[in-house]
Amino acid sequence: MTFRPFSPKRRKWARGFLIAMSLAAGLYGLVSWRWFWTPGGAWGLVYGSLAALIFLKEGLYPLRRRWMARPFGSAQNWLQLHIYGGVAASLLVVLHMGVRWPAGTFGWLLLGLTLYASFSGLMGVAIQKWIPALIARQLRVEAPLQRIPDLVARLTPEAEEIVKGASRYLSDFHDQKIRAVLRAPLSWRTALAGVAGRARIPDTEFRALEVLLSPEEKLRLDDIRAIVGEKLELELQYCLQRLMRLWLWFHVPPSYALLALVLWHIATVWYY
Amino acid sequence: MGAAEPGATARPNIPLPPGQQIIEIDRLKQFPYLNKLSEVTLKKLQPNIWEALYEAGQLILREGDYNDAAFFLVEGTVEVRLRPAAGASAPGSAAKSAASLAADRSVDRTVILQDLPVEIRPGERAYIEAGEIFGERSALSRYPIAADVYALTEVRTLRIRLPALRLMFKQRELAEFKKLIDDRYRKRTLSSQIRKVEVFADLDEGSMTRLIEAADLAAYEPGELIVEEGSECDALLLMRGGYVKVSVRSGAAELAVTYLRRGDYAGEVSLLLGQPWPFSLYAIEHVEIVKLPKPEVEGLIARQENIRASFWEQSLSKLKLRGLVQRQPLVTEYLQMAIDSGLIHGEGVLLIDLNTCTRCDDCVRACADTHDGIPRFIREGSRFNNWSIPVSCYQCTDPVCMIGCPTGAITRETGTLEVTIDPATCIGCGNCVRRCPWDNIIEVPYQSPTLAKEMKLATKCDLCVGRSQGPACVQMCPHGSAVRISFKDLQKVAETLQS
Repeated sequence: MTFRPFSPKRRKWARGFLIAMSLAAGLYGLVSWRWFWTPGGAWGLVYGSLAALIFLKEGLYPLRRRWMARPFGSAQNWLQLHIYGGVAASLLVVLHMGVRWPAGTFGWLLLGLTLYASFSGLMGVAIQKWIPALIARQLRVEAPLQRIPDLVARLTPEAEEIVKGASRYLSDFHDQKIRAVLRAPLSWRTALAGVAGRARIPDTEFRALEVLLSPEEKLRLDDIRAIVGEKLELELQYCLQRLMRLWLWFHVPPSYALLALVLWHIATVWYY
Repeated sequence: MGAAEPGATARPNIPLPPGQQIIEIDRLKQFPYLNKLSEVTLKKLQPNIWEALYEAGQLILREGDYNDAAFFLVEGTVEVRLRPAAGASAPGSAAKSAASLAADRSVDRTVILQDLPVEIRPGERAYIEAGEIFGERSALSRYPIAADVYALTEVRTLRIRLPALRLMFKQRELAEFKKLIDDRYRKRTLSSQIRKVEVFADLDEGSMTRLIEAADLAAYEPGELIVEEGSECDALLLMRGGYVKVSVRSGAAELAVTYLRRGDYAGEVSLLLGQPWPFSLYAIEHVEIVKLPKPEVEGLIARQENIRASFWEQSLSKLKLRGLVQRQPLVTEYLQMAIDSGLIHGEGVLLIDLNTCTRCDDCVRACADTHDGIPRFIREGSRFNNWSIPVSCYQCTDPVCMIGCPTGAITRETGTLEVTIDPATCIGCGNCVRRCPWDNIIEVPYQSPTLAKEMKLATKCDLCVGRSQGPACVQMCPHGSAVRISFKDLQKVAETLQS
């Protein structure tokens, strides 16, 4: 499956979004050319209000579970509206400002957070398209995140059982190399090194040992090799699944900070 | 299994219910029909023939339940009660299936029960005396029991489970027994089974009588070839029970095109076009077939426009699938996987696309939120290509889990898909958990208000029956990774799973 990070799941929605944004930009162009555009003017306020409403709707995204996807019908609709809404709101903010640099620190903060929230959201879209396909394509092992440490912990006694009663060559190899690898905590570095072909135990070491073993012990070594491979896969799976969750920390808190600032902005504009 | 000592007791493959016991070989020899068999054969039958004792008033079979055995009434009398057309008042969730079975009964119409040798009106009772056999048809055809059966007096029965029943049919010495069962089927059931096939629903009585007289009944073992591609077609095959794989030869392989189950038929393509079989048919499991001879069927095709039109439609559909498989052989691997793993037994099987699933577990959370905090499936399951097959009930066409439920907690309304478990009447016996061939029923700790104690509640996916938005797992997946699919339509399978 080819990775296409920005290939829309729903082409009709993407088309509708592009048409709506084109119309919005076109209207901005017309108004600013024909008359004068200010953030506080009629159209500026319309665009600003729309953007604020969209931000508010974005902030309600976690409630989709409690509301069982009402009123949009399905979690998929919620997510699509969230993504398109976020990008649309950013564009509306830029147009609301009259495509000018903001004035003052607060303005820069608002704009910065707006663009960051959209950018981080789109990065999340890319991550959530890339990682599942990567896991499905490259890894044979599939396990829920919470179970992976437990599954990894079982590999050590499994390997110990295989080398029980084995020859000196195999048991020394296990004691000196394999045990450390299996007991090592799950780590990004190891996972990525494994992907890059820099496994902690190079294949040449396995092959060098294999020539010293009897046919029966070669089978045991194959089992050990499979266990080491499974550890690497579980490690990679663990890291990739955690990345999908870690991304949320880069997106959600700044987005809620943005929402708070937007509400403050509305309150101050209203008051003054 | 090595040769056992004479009279030794073999272990059954599921736990015996209370009041039932394995019978010693010497005692088995004393029963009618069984007394004609050799000791070697009796030893093979022994694990699946139980002596069942019932006290007066005890329920033997419940209307709407599924059954896996024929009962030979050794001593006593049983009472058959057919519930009335309206106001069925049976306890527990069995009332749901009973009421739906009773829904189309008129009060004055005598009902011929396919699995009980009586004719009865709704609301009335009939009696079966010693020496009779009952329940065999519901076991063989996997239909729900048609009426309640109670012990009127103290009753002793031989409970002959399906494996033993099938083995008995194969014994030359029991040809008379097989003929009895087959004749009863022809007389009581065949007509209604033929009419259940939509194309024959409005057949006139004369044509139906001719069909029944000419029909041949056949049974096949798992894996057995029923019809070979290219051979001459001499009958329309009507599926009575079991699953059949329809395949075409491609190179050295047999590519699965579709499958047939109870109510389906095959042979219409050949009969219409006057050509040999364009497919091979293989029994996936124990299969029972009614063969309607070619001259009779050709006569019907010539006389009845609706039958001809329906056959053409089916033929086109099957030939299209054949073409699809020959153009895109890869599409058949999903169907073959479904056949091998049992997914064909289900109508709304849950699959998760691992290419798009972010492992967020929103599906599991949604399931739990919909079912009092207890999720009904386990996301972690087997894998095929990029698809995960969670541990989730398949809603099998023939739900063997429903056999032997002591309280009727596990039910299915007639004509519906969902098999449900009522927490109020489940006592946590674990019968359904053990019976499920796919281990899709899960036991969870549960504080039962009915029993006033903690117990293990059997729980399973019920497709969120009654929920207007359908299954919560599918609705709440943000990426559309969770899909519900039937493997019956290969075109749909190709569109969904190969995307």
